[in-house]
This record gives sequence, C-alpha cells and structure tokens, in this order.
Amino acid sequence: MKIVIGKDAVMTGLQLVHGVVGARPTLPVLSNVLLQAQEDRLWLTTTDLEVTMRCAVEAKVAKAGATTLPAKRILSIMRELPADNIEIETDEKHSSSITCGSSFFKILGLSVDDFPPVPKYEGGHVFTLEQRVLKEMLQKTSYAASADETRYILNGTLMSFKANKLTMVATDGRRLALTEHELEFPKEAETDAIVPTKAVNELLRVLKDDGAVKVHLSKNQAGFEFDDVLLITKLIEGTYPNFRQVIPSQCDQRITVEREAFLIALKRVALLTSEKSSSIKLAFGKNKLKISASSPDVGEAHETVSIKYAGKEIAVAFNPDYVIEPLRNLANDEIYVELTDELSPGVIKCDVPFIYVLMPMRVS
Amino acid sequence: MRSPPESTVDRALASFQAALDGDRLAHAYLVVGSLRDEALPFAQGALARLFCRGVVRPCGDCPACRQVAERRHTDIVWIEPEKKSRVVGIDRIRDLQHVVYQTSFEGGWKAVVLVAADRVGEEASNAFLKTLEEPPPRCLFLLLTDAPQAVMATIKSRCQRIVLSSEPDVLPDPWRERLLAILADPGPQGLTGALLRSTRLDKLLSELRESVAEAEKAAVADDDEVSDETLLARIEARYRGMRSMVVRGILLWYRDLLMCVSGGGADCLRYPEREAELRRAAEALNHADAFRNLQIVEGMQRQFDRNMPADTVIQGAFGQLNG
Repeated sequence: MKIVIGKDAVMTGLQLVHGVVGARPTLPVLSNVLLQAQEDRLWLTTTDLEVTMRCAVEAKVAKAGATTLPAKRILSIMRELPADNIEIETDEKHSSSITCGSSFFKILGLSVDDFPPVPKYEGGHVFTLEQRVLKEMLQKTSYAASADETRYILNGTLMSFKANKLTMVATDGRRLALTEHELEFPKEAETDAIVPTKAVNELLRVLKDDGAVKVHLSKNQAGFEFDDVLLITKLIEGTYPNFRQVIPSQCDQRITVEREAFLIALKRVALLTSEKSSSIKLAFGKNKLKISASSPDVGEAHETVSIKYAGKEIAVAFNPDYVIEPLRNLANDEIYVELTDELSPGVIKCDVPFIYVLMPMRVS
Repeated sequence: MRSPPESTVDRALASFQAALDGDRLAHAYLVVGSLRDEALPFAQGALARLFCRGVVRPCGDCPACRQVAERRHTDIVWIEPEKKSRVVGIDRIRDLQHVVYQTSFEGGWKAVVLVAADRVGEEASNAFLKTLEEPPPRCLFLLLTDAPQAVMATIKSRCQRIVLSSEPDVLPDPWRERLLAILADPGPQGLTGALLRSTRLDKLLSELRESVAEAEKAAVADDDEVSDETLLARIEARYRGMRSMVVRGILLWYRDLLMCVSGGGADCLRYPEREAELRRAAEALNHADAFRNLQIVEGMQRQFDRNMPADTVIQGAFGQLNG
C-alpha cells in the first residue's frame, strides 16, 4: 500500500474511529486501525468486537493495499506532524513508513488477516431519518440508561420502530426517559433493538446536524450509515421491560417551569447535597418553587424560582442529578412538571414528544 | 507435551457432537481433567465443532477452525487466572458479561472458556453464578478444572459434568517417588524431624517449579507470540497445579495411615507398595491423631490457595503432624 494524504483528512478519519479502540483489547489486533487504500479513498476501521466504526477519507492512492497500525500511536504521530501531505507506504511485513517533510517514522503493524471482518447485517430492515433527529433523540434519552452491569438489559437504549413511530427509551429502574418521532415504514418492518451504551455514545460523538442516516436493523446487529461513516454494533439480547406501565396515566397537578432558571437553581442548591443526604426538596407553592438541600454535616441551601402554579402545595424530594439531566438535554424554554403526591412518580414533559418519569426519594 | 489420552477426550467429543447435532447441548459444562492434556484439548475440539463452517465438522481448515485453534475467534472469550495471585478477578467476570448478554459478532454461537475454574475468587464466583443462572440462548460455557472440589458448589450444580480423567490429581514420577521417600522416612522425632522433613519438601517444591519453568520455556521456544508475561503466568499456573498434586499426594499418605490405624488391609491403601513403612508409622498413632493429620494437610491446600509462602505453610503443617 502506498498513499499520499493530507494531514486534515487523516486526522478527520482517525478522530472519528479511534474512540472505539478499547483500553484492554482482548486481541492484540483490536488496538489497531485497519487502513485500506483503494480508488482515491482511504478507509479506516476500528473495532472492539462490540462496536465497529468505519469511515473513508480522500487520499491519493499510488498503490492499493491494506495494513493495520496501532490506532492511538498513529493518532499521536499524525497530530504532531506539520500540516502537510503525509506519505504512508507499507511493505509485505506490515511495517509502514510515514514520511512528512523531514519527519520519518517506521511503525510495525499487524496482518490484515488478523483483523476481524466488518460484520454484515444480512436481512433486517432499513430506516432513514435525519441525523439531527437521531442525535437529539439519543441526547434526550441515553443518560437515563443503567450503568449497573447486573441489569444488562438496561445497559443500552431501546429503539422501537412500531406504529409508524420511532420510540427511544432508556431507564435505570429509578428514572425513565422516552422520546418519539413520526417515521413511515411498512408494518412488517416493525422491530425493537437495544443498542448498547458504548455505541450510543459513539453515535452522539460522530452524528452531525445535517444529512440523513440509514439505520440497518438485523437480528444481531444494528448499522448506522451516514456520509462516509458506518457504525455497526452488537445488540443487547433479551426483551426490554414493559416501560409503558411505569408511565403514570394521569397526575393531579401540572406545573409550568422555566427550564433554564430551574436548571441553574437546581445546580446551585445541589452543591449542598452529600453522600449521606443526596436528595433535594422541591416545594411547589402558589407561583413559586422553593428548592432546598440540607446535609447535617455540610450545611443547607435554598433558592426560590418563579413558576406558573395555582394548585395545592406539594413537597417532594428527588435525586438532583435525575432532575438536572433531562433539563440539560432539552432545548425547550418551558417544561411541565406533573406530580400527584410526595410518594408517587413525578413526570417531566415539554412541548415535544418527550416523557421523563422519576421516582421520588423518601425523606424523613 | 504429552499427547492426550485419546480415548477419553475423543469419546467426550463424540458425545458433545451428538448433543450438538441433536440440539441437546447444555448451556454449561464442567470439564474435569488435566488442564493441559485433557480439558484444553477437549475445549478446543468442542469449540471447533460448534463454530466450524465446513461440511464435516470440524474441518480444521475453515477460518473459524483456525481462529478457534489460535484462540482468536471473535465470539469466544478465554478467561485464565491472572497476575501473581493466579486468580480470576471480578473485573474479568464483568467484562465477560458484556459479551454474554450482547448478540454475537458473527451472528451465531458465543462461547466462554473459563480455564482453571477452581481459581475464580469468591466475589467473582458469585457474579459468574448470576450469569450462569440466566444464560442467554446460544451461549456455551466451558469451565475447565483439574480440582473440581475447589469449584463453588452452586456453580458446579449449574453445569453438566464431563469427567475426562478419574485421577486428575496424580503426581507424576519422579516427583511421586521423591515425595513418598520424604513421607516414609521416619528420621529423627520431634521438632528436628519436622524441620528436616519440611526442608526436604520445600526443596522438592523448588525443584518442581524449576522443572515446570524449563518445560514451559521449551514448549514455547519457537513461538514468538508468547510474551514473557504470558510465559510467567503459564509457569505459575502449571506449578500451582503440580503443587496441588503434591498436597494431594501427602493427603493420600495420611489417609493410608488412618486406614492402617483402623485395621484396613493392603487393598485399602493408595500406596500399597509402602505398606511396611505405613504400618510402622501407624503404630505410634491413635484414631484422633490420624484424623487430625488429615485436617492439617487439608489446611495446607487452603493456605496455599490464600497465597501464603510455601515454606511457612510446610513448616506450619509438619510442626503439627504426627507420624
């Protein structure tokens, strides 16, 4: 393989794919990026066997071929090279010479044959939507996924393509985030897939605001194809819990709150929570919300926020992070907090199809 | 490397193939036998049959067969004891759960091979138990061990057992003969005798380690891919296996002493060729002493498992043993 490639192009490609490379790869070749040069393109691929990321960048290909090189080291080298054309030449022993101006590196690679083949998604269905929509849906839900590895089924985000809607759900058992988007697809394409959190995080990193993304869903894999990028991920096996049954059908009180002011006040008051006392109290009164936190060994804080509310007074305690996260990931000016009493689940909604259910904390 | 006793491993593989063909595979097997000569060849053979894409399985030629043989198949996780303590830690079990509960890379089976299943720590065993209790479909667990008695009972109860060797813990010669020479030698009585015996046994273990190291180094002499760290880990694992056989050898000696104290004949003895020495040593023992000796030797293995220094374990045990 022999190519000449611009620094910007190779950096774009490496920065896209290097996040997949794990800290403790199970096979030596998984530390490497697969480079394949053909028809004025350089394809870069990385995998940790859970997520596979592949992208193409422009390059002048003098001799087509392929090799694998240590991903992190190559990225470090490319980052330090001057902004110029870089020549990469690989010999039969997988040793690559990198030349840029007067800089020269010889890097030992591993055989292309050792690199796992890019998974093929045979059969399955393809759904097309805007990248911006997919990214926003993931942003609004993925933070609620469980990180507890004993609850493996919750270690990802559910993508449910049903009734001409894409429903995205994540939950850790204490809170649940759900968002929906209208999407046309045939009835036989209805399917569910639980996408692992690592793949979701990579998608959030690489999805752009313009252009479409094709979502390929098969029994074993999900593929996300956009621009010159392909991300393929394994899925979490099993049936996602029936999330509809935890969403309260009706709450007694609905309170309109200005999101930004609520978020800032929450962040401030939450500074006074501690490991022993990790809850904040929200006291909803006539047109005002009092947010307070008290830790016996730290101190206390409270702040009042104006709201639109004329109902009965309700005081309820929540984990502050569980309230802050949806507010941080929404863009609406106003949100609606729905409550029944201090022990029933609270609900956060807004003027887009989004529902967030969170369990209150019982405090003395 | 000794060739495996073909008949046992081959018979087990034939049964495995029949279960696979009949869609009757258990989700987990506890494979009992010498790790190197029986359990590992069985695991390689079983996995080749499971993942082979050839017409006659295993063809030995397809990419899957080659990947299984080279331990680089993307849907197989190999877990071996790590670090100096030679224990499988909780982190490795957590990593494993990712693989188990996600779809396979190639769309077919997934497999987990736990080499030396007896070396899984307590916390890790409990985490692993959860995985074994709720196995996803088309996921095979192979737990390999040469010391099934050290595997947690709740794990064993969830596995189908494949016994490849009826005597997985028999110490090979010349070590067996040397051990018996130490045990059978009456030597001086009291503390001096105990110190002499423990020094001789400590020396035997040191030489055993050197012998294992030489054999392992020779086995990988032509393999550039085996790192120094891997080689050291293999030496340590093999040595620990051999050391367990030594402890079992000592245990059998004191079992024979108990038999002699109880009036058992030569047909009850595991070391009938040493009957004369055994009966001589038994003359000075009563039942209680003979029982206590067995408990002391069992304690030795537990102390070794807790990574106590060999000389401390041996001196402590021989200071208390009678006969």
